[in-house]
Amino acid sequence: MKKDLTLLLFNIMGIDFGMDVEPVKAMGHVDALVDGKSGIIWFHEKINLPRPPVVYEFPRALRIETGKKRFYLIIDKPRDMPLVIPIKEIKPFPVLVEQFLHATPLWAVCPINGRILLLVDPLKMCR
Amino acid sequence: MRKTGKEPSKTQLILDTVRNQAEEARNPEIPDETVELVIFTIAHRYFAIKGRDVREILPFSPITEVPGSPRTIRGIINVRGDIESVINLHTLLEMDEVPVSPATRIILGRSGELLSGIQVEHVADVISIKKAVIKPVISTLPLAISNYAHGGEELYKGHYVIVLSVDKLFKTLSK
Repeated sequence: MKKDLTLLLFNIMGIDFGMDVEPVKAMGHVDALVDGKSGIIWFHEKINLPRPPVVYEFPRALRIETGKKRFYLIIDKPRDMPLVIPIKEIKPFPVLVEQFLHATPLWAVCPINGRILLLVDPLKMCR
Repeated sequence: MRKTGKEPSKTQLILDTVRNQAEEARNPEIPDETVELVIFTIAHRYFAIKGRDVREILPFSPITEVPGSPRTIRGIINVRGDIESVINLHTLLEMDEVPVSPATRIILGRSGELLSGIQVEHVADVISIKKAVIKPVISTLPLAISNYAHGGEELYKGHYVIVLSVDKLFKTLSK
């Protein structure tokens, strides 16, 4: 069991998210994606953000590969540098919140620098 | 406060009375027993929760919204390294939202093992009263409030204070 997790950080609509970088094979401009390409998932399609309409300010496309699953995930405002966090810093969601998240890709939180990162499981994004 | 349009039916009132009587029979009041109450306001109306159901009162800190959770949950906060939920009492009690101010507080309530923040507009006082002073709530209260009420009385500076049950609030939010 690893002691650390390397996270790609991004922010959509003012909410900070973190995602394990391991299945992220590349990041590029959304414009570079071929029109009509299948296997493109916009982040907000899987995460029910609180205040629609969702506006992407600096969208980027992540190429995610794991096993037989391959897809592009569009996120917003990714940080340039990934962040390594010790596993022990990861906390489960509080009970009252966690009960509503079983069907979502959100799986835990990580408090960092006075903010709370919501951790996303990229593999659950393509369900 | 928004009108719910749902007044308790006669049968509901009778059932509530019967339940209250059964509750009182199970927990006979000791006349001199005192109870500590944390008094606070929501939409300029006075409420209280029992001191034993309060772990601490926190200054307001930014709440991280969690996509996918219902409107009755505002989000999560970091309490010295522990992540706690914050419930939205305004939505639960069907009352108008009031903007955050310097007086806004988060009461960390507990019910058994369950712990959660409750955002309130202003913590007015912590008082100690005889338990017997708290009466069943008035029948004209909207159902959205009486559902979570333990009792009420003019307890603070001539204001009618509704004593909420943290247990009932948290049970409603637990699936």
